[in-house]
Amino acid sequence: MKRMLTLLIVALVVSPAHAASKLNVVATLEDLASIARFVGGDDVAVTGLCHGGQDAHFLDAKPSYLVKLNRADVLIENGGDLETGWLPLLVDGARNRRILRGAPGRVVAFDGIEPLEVPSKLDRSEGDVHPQGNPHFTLDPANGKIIAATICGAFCACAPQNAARFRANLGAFEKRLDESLTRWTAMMAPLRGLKIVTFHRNFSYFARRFGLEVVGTLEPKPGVPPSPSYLANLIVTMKTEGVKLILAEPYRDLKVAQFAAEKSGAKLLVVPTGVGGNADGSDFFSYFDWLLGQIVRTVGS
Amino acid sequence: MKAFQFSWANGVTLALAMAAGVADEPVDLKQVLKQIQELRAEQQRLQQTIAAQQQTIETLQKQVAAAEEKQKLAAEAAAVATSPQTPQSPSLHPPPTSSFRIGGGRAYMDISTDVLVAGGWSSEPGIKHAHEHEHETHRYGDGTLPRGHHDPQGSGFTLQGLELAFQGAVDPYVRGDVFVSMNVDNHGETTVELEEAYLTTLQMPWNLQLKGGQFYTEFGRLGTSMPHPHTWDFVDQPVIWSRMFGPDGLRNPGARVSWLAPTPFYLELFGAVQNSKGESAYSFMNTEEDEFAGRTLTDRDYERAEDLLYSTRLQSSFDLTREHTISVGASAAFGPNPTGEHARTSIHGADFYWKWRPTQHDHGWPFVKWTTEALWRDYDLAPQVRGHHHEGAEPEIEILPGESLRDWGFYNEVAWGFKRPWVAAFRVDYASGYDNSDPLLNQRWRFSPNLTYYFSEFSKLRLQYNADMAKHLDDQIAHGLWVQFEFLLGSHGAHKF
Repeated sequence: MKRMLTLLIVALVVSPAHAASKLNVVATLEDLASIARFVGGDDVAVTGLCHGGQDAHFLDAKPSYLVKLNRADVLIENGGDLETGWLPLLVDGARNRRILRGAPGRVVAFDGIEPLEVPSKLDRSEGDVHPQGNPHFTLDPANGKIIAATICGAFCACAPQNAARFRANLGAFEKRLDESLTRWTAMMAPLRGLKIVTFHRNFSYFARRFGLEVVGTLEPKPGVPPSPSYLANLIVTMKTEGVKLILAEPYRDLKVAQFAAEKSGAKLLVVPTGVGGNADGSDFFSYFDWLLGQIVRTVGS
Repeated sequence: MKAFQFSWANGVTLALAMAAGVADEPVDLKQVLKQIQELRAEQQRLQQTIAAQQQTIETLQKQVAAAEEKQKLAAEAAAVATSPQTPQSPSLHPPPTSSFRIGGGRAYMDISTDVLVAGGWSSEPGIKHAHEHEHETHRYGDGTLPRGHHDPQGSGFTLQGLELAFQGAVDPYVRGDVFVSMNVDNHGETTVELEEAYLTTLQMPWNLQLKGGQFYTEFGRLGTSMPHPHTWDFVDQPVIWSRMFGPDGLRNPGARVSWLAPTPFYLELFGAVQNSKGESAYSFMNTEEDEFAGRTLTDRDYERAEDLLYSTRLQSSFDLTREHTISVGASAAFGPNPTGEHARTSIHGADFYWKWRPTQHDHGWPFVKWTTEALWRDYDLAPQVRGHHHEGAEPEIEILPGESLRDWGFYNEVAWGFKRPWVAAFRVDYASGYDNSDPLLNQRWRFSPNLTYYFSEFSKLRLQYNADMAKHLDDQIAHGLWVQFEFLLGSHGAHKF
């Protein structure tokens, strides 16, 4: 009986580490998970925690995530303090040395990205400003290449026997992304210079990529809800500037966005800000196909 | 029209001038022409002025219209915009007691200070100044309701806590967390306590994690996930918590190990050994007061292994859906008590927590959290022989037989974040009565509705009413009304789920 119990405990403790021949990958965002699936192919099993319809700043540090991190060979985080409210707590509790900072299995997607909106000073009276710059860089599809290369590097380090396949997958991903970028740029070309308003500073990288001009945000400061007078001023500005489009995330206070659209004559488009937020954007490519299609259709109509 | 009027006026002037010339002397045509020219120039000047004024009027009218439009928009926007005015401070709202960590990453540790202040009124007297009670048996002789050290200490203001937190990775192997807390009670007495100072390992093998130092025992939901007062959903700590763990909760120097089970769902087992003495091990070897339940308390040294405090906890959590999560836990703590040499105390607890939050929440809102926790205590009252000396009489001997003090209680609370940034909460407290004449052991019910406004995750304002029904009270019911304010400066570590 005692021997059986010992065996059982040994089996329980040892099995997770040896059971999987595939790399067990956890990505904080579904966008990163999707890229990891393209790079990893059949050699990885990827779980994404936060889909594009959720606010990645405010995920709950659920114990079930801690279990996922405990089993992970690779953890891919967005970085730039996006997940700072919940990820450090989970990693500390996960007791998994493979995903600690500095380990080959810890990937920070922000590494290698050129940041926008890096604050010159840190002051919370300016709202929730991220010290390392705007962390919503996954919305520029061209950044996908940098992220994929970073992920490929981590996969190769963690499973060197599959490195050749990872690199081949990366090449295929880059090729497909180049083709898509050409198509997407062409799609968006007529909208170049289009003036838009967004709810949060989620679309800064996106706007830069496709030449859109973000005239203002419905939030006066990141994370700060608008006051009536702020909103009224913004609407007047939107009218004078000729703003055609408001982009808002589904989890925002949409009454505010609808009001601004109604009063300014701009069209409101509510879109998830990443992969997995709806059925149409189930992977990296289909998400941008869908998002750009929506924008073109909305502005054109 | 105006131009015509001026031409007509010119005509009249000319006619008058001519008439005057006819009457007196020959008409000096040159002079008349000069006058006409002057008049024309005058007319032009006036026309220009008028045009300029018209322009000004139009501009002003536009401005008025724009202002009116803005005003109208603002009035209409008031119906949809959540914030009454654009605050100077941020209000990036994660839900209360949800995890957050802002800033940090640029220094070797996160440093923060959190200040919790309460003011209000209670129909019962507050806690007496500790020094006034040197000669009395119970420190809380008069103020019998506020049992928690961080509770409002009575009518007036209480600085419930100024918490200094220092947190960060020590090296790749361990992280360190230090919490120092200061209070100022409503008599102006400042106390400083070292709440916690512990190391936690980050990469132990076999899913183990060690913790060492001074720390809150992982007992129950309150002890495990939210031991610090600023994370509570209420102004004060639950009645049963005060009764079993005293004014400051269960915490002492020691060591603990936890094991994350390799199950597909979350299952964690904790085991700790800590010192059993002092007010922060209230139901154990605590000799801060002279008496408990009529027994004299005597301090003993740690001589055997069982003189220490042992605790264990099994905690599990399941996601019912993406939006519903439940956590359950069972805890136990064992240790000696100071009523006699072999007297021991054991406390058992069971807790349940359910949280609903839609995936598309706005900074955490809306949400519902339901927490319920029950605790049971078995406290050996060792047999004691006590002599009472009366002047001029024979000493009176009192024999107290051995007894087992058994009591229990629960709290049950629901917090509902119905609209950003508001949270309404309601708590029911119960503690069973062992001795209804003793305010530490009598039956007590308490009902506490409250409403909290979160300016941001760094500051909040709370209004709470307490209806306290304790058996020892003259009126059987006491009322309390409290306002609480919190602000947090600096980088603070994320809070547990």
